[in-house]
Amino acid sequence: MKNDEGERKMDQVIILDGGMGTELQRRGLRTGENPEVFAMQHPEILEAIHRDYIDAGSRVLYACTFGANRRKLEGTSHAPAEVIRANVRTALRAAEQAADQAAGQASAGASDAGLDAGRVKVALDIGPIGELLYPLGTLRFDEAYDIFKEEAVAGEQAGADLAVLETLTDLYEAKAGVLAVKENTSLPVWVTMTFEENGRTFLGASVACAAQTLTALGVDAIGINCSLGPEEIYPLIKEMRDWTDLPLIVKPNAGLPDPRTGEYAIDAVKFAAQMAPYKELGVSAVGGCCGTTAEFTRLLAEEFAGVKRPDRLARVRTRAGRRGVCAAGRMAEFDGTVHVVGERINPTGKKRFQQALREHDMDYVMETAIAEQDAGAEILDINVGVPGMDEAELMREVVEAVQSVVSIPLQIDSPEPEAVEAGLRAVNGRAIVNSVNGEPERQAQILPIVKKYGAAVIGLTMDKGGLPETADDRIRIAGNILKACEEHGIPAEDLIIDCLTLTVSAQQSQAMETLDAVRRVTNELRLHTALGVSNISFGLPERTHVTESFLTQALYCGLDFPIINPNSRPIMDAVAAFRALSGQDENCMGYIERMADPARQKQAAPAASQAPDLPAGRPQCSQTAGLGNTAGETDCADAAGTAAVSPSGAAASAGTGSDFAAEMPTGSSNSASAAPENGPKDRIARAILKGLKKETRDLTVELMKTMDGMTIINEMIIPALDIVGDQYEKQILFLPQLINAADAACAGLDYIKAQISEGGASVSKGKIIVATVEGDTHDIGKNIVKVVLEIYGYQVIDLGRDVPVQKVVDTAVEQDVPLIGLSALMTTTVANMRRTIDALRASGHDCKIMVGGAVMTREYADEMGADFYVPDAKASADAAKAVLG
Amino acid sequence: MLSARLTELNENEILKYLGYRGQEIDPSLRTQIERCIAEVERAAVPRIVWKQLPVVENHVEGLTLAGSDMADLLANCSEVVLLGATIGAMVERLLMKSEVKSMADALIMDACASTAVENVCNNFEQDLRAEVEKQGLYLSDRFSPGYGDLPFEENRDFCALLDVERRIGVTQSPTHLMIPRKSVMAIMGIADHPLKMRGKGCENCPMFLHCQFRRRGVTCTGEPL
Repeated sequence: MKNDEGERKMDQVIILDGGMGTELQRRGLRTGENPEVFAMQHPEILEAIHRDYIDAGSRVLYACTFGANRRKLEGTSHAPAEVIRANVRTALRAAEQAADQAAGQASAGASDAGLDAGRVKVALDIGPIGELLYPLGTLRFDEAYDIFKEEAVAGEQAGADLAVLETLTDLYEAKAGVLAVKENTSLPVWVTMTFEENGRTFLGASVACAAQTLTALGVDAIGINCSLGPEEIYPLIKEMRDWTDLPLIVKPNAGLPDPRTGEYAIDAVKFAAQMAPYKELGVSAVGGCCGTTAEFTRLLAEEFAGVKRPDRLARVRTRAGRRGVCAAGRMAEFDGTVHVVGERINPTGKKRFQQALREHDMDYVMETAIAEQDAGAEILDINVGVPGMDEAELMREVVEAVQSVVSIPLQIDSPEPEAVEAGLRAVNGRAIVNSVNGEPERQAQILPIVKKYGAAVIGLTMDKGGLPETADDRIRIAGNILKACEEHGIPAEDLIIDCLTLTVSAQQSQAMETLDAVRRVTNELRLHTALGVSNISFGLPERTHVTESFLTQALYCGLDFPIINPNSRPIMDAVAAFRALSGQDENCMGYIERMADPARQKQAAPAASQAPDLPAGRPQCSQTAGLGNTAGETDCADAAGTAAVSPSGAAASAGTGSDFAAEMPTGSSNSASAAPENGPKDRIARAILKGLKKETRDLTVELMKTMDGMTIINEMIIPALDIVGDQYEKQILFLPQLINAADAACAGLDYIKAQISEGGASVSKGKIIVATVEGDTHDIGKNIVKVVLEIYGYQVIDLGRDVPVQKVVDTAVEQDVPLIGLSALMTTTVANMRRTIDALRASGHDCKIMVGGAVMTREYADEMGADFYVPDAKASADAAKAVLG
Repeated sequence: MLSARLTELNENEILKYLGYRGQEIDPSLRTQIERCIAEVERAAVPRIVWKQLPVVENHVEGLTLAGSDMADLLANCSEVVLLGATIGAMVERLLMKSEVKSMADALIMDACASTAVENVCNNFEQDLRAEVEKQGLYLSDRFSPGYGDLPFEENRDFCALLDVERRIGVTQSPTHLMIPRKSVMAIMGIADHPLKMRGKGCENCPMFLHCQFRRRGVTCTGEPL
């Protein structure tokens, strides 16, 4: 669909059109009226506007279809296809009539950006859906895709020449739109997003990340429109140019409207003058957005008369641009510097993680992800391979969950093509695929997917012959992979070679072969390299030393994507030291800052005394010493991981001098540390009551040496929480204190859960569903309830917020759940709570229902037929006790 | 031109949102609250959009403005000012992350965020009042859909009229909840004569619908209803 005529023909900058909304208003559109429907009902007005723009010099008309999606047309009694057909045809009519009139006249044709020369082109204009996507909003990616698909298909059928997605602020929504257009039509697709002066969209997407992600998805041109005037957009377009080879589009506003008069700040003369600098910058298409009129277009066309479009293919040939992988707002640039890839989201050999995936316990996964980012990971590897689970579906779920709480790019790690595609599709940004190898069959399965989503890819230097023995073999396979990538249209810059780490205690000579291969891939093949380094030290005592040393040497050889456990401090220290030594860390500021972290000083001192004794046969480790973890290691790795989950929380609650201890059942000293004579039960109760996470956890670790986990939960943690709940009811404690105590109890509980799960069992007194009902997005209350119920030992199935009625019923029936908790915060959504209850009753599933939420009252609850009215988390625990024991 | 201003958050107001009733606040909790305030302030990007519109025959084009409060306002005012305010999506992301890391932090940050968007509205109101009074005119109290008897559903028209999606990045869910959640639509009237201001009672309070104190049968000052 893209043509390369641009290479042979240096054409002029394409003049786009200007504002539509303000023009319609001037000609009769009333406030509150739907502009697309108004235009459909007044085709003569719409056509006149288009003709004005053509007369002024527009070569591409944006059809009046910006808001013609099924959400925005709701309540107008008009379907998107109807409105799109009518308005695209009106634009086409205007274009054809103009062409007839100008027949025989030479046209300033557009051949770049997917356009042929000839008559004025008509773009299907696709604006934002108007609802935010999950996780911030309630609209799911697939539904957004479907909405865009409806528009795109209708637009193509109506005869549009191309599709323009514009004014988008959510990169994820843009991705849904691009996929919808590309997968369902053959229209060229342009995307322009809207940024604020700080170079971010309202939703935090950066110029660089937008450019890389959209370029990767294979659109035909990108740019910026709306929100700002030409002067403010200029530096942003300049930055965008660094990150893409695509033609650039700019369509600024006439500044901002005056709140009192509605007049825009910039007039046509000033606008054209402000646009002039773009001639030097090398943009391919220019126009105006809100507040601009045909007069603006006329002056703009005059300003750009005879200005050639830039030769973008020259840039492609010289590979001038910057590149990297990214989340919506964070770039990991492929500039040869080190990027730590966190390896912890991986169930291999970790029973607790496997359990979390089987139970769809996304909180556990998200905690792991947050801990990795907080510890310094810059990319997260995502592996969800658990036998018996639908890996593609799980990959999608985990990617969505992880990117809702961390802001770094992801690496999709799976051997299954379906899972790779599911992951790449769900990613908001540009990802790495881990991995292909030297086998042509695998390359044929994976590389087309990599190409489709424009991902980077890791190539493992192994093939049918198995693990290579020498550096030469590795280089040979790397070369083969490079060739395969290029055949699939994946540039060498996006290939990352993994030279494979073998265990030094088993195959000693291989360590140096691997390092040699890393050096040669870097220097001879000039490719990036990745390496999972932890495996080097397997089976050796005090593994960290070996891992650290190997890592440092590999970094020196050119390794730029080490795949490591970022929660291991010595390993991350080694990275920090390397960055200082290699000059990547300018003036060693990063290193100095890292070593000055007060949490570090505090935790370093008592290291020895806190190290838990581990059963014989497990690798040695301590919480503070960390270890060279591979993803396959288990207990201590998890211990280290969770300990790092919330350094800020632990620090905040580490204060002393609380008076709560006066309320303690022991009635003794008010300082936890000053009461060594107290039994463990009192000490843990005090730690929980004061909300001390680290202390609670440490005490739990100590108790687990002599007691069994369930006993600790039932005889220590729950009684402590009962006291907290009681004090909350008596208003001795207020809500944050109650929740701090719950958080502390969780810290202990998490450790117990991990231990019990290693033994193949799980902690559960029964299942409970919690959900914020359909239409409601306020879920902090529901989440508090969840935390408390989990502490009491129940397995909570959290369906999230805005949960469709049927999903609650289906889950309850499928998993045979005896207690359902529903929350609604708004009066407008209480009706959906009633519908959910009715549906549960109608299903015949035998269960109790508890309801809560700000607007709920006992009367409401009774009237709706709920079994329990639970005004707070404590009450929900009481209800659970009544139903499940 | 009036701009979006987020000023120092009032800690007492945050405590009020948290259901505080004079409990002992130990230093660690104090530190925790201060840290949460700082994080919310760092994530918050205050944005406003406003429009001044004429009242013609007790009506503002594009709005329904049902209820007795609005009838009163429209009868007395020659113009209205519509306001849309938000502290942005990054706060929402922060709250999401905090809910996983520490529910207590999330709870406190939620209160900070509510206080912050209220703060932005208060600052705008104060700035506008000064401008209006300089012209010898009078500005009414601030009302939002969902307060008093102005229906919550009218948020939809406010959002459309102010073009909040393009101007400040606020969208609505199908049930007319605003996302980012910490966003507010409001209306104020301008008159050439002094206006009767609302009393201080619960019915005039923005928290009326969701007040935790009222549910327990008391006011936020501890008096019985």
